[in-house]
Amino acid sequence: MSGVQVVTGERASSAAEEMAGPACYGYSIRSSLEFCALRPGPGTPLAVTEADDEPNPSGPPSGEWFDQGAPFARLWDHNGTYSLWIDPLGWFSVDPGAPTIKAPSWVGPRREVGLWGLPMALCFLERGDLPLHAAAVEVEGRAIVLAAPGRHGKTTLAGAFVQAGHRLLSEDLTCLRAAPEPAVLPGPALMRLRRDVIEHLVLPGVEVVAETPDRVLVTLSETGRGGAGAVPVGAVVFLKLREGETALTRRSPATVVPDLWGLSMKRPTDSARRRCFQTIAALAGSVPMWDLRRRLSFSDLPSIVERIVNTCRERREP
Amino acid sequence: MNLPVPATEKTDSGPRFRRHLRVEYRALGDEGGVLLHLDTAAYHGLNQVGARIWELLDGVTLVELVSRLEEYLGDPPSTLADDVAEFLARLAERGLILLEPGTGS
Repeated sequence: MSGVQVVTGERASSAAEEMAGPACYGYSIRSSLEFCALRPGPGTPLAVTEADDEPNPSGPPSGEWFDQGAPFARLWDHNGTYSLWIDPLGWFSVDPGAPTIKAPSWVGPRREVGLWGLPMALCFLERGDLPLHAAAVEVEGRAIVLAAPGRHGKTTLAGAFVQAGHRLLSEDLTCLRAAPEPAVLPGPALMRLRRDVIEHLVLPGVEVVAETPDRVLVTLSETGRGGAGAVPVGAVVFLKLREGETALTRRSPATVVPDLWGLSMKRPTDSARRRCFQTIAALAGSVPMWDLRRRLSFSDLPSIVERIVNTCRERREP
Repeated sequence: MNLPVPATEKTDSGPRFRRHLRVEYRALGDEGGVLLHLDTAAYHGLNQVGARIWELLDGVTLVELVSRLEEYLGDPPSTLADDVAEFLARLAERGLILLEPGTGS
């Protein structure tokens, strides 16, 4: 996917202006860089360019993200614009108001994974949407959000949905919009699968675009990825680990607020936290939410997918 | 538990109760509502009556609050004033409401 226009340092004429083209998380991506995981569809313009210099922020970061105890991302907030360092990719400069993202020198799909992660989350967070640590799939026109911390099987379960013929909307970071109706704005059409996972799943139409010692990066086919338009939310499922029988139990709205809060990305300011809370509470009050308690087992995946699909379907039917 | 006001106080000159400005609230329809204290990041779920009380805490006295609740409930329990006082005490313990001195204190 290439040949799209570069827009450098210019603010969009209107935040509400919708543009068609390669899109991600509700943004129409304007860039001369090559991307492999975008979907066609509407969005407000967002310019992605290569950084021509490296930021040199002073002072301690305002945010850090850790993976297995080691920091992999650090954020410096410059009153609404950001310098973001992601290991091992390098520096991103993000201006959510413009919106623009300056990315490190481009070398391929792994950098694309980084770009569609935290830098994009900073942009749609500013827009008022909720970045949630979750995968999302589309089942019969409704998004099912699979929310959990790392190592709870989000990607594997999302892969099992794809294997069953459903569409992947996002793999690790889901963009949730609360109003006018709760919706998922599809993210990049890619998955980072563990090697043992890809050996156990049959994924139609995916293409391997990069490999690391422990992960295989795949993109969905052009037909399988579908469009970038918003998909109404049918359910949020919190993935919990336990031995024994699988259980899918309904959650009451008030009880899910802490779970959503813990899995959401937010800026550490009062106004940002107030807005995040209101978005979360609005979602909690309008979207059915469930706990899925299960053991991590490849053999259980087809029956779990079927159970979630049937439960969501039964709830919709009178 | 130390109540912010004696439950038996029936005059309208007691302390006035107000929502803390650093507490965010969202109604959840039939499910009541939920509170977030911005300083502690603690959540508190409210049932329907609790949510109604929260919405009424705009500087009311206990007497005024109970009176408004009686109208809202239609057929209130005889223990309503004591129940409300206990609920206010719990909110105060968690730093969710502010108490302003009453005129009679």
